[in-house]
Amino acid sequence: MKQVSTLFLKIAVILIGIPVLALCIFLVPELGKLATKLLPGFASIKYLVSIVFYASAIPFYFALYQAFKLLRYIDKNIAFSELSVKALKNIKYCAITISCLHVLVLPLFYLFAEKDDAPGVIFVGMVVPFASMVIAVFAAVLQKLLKEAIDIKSENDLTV
Amino acid sequence: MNRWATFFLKGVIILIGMVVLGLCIFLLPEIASRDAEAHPETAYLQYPFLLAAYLFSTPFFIALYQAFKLLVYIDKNNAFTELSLRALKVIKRCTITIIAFIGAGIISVVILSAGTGEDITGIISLGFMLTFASSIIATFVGVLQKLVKVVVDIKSENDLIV
Repeated sequence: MKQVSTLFLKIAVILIGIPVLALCIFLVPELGKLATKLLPGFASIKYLVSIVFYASAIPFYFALYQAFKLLRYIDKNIAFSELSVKALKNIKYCAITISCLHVLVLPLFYLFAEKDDAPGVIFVGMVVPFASMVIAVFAAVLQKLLKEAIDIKSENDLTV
Repeated sequence: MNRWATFFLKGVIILIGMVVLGLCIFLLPEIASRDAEAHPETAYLQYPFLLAAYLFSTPFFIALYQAFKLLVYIDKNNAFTELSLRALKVIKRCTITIIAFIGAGIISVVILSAGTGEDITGIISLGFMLTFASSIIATFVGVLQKLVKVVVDIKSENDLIV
């Protein structure tokens, strides 16, 4: 396996983590303020929004770490092992968690769209849950294929 | 192989294709004509711009079609064959072509706007972001291709023994 491509992907994984960290630090407090403006009678919405977004950052970083681990396995030529199946399974669960958490804040996007009369905002709100759902299903398919490959390989090892 | 998973991914591919097709058909001509009205001095670029945009979207659609084919192979339990290797190779080439197109686009924007004093930071950074994303996809597909090749080799070895 060529090391260059996995090295590039490893760097990409790290680079993707940085803007999300910036969003967590700078954007989430703003969103909390916005939510209190939208729902003035419900002050604790601020904390709820912050909790949802910070909570979804945890599975995100865990998934990035698992992807990094997966790349390391590919480097070590142990891509077809139970270890990678486990990493893919973790990525799948992380993506499902993120998707569910972001569906929770979808009503807020609806309120915002209602107030601003901009129906497109709803679609913006649906991007994250939809994208993470796609990633979850993709990881599931890869997991199944990986299992199949492991079976083929173990069959090979047995005959030899 | 779970049918619903590949079915879902197929649906996503069709959805993405339709959205991009819609953009190509409805939004791009609008943008071109509006820009031609706003800047009459560069109005002659209206149709070259459209042509370039459609040329640009062709490898994208080819890649989507190949991804769809790949899902069909997975459905038929044909994932570890030369066919899917070929599909992956085409996807990789399409992505590299898109990267080259974006690079050409950035260069032409820089040349065209030289001396006009227009702010092109936004469009350039968008171009770099797209380049970054497509190079990630190209590399990822390259890694997948190598992994699939390993399995295909093992499988053919198996078949020989049996």
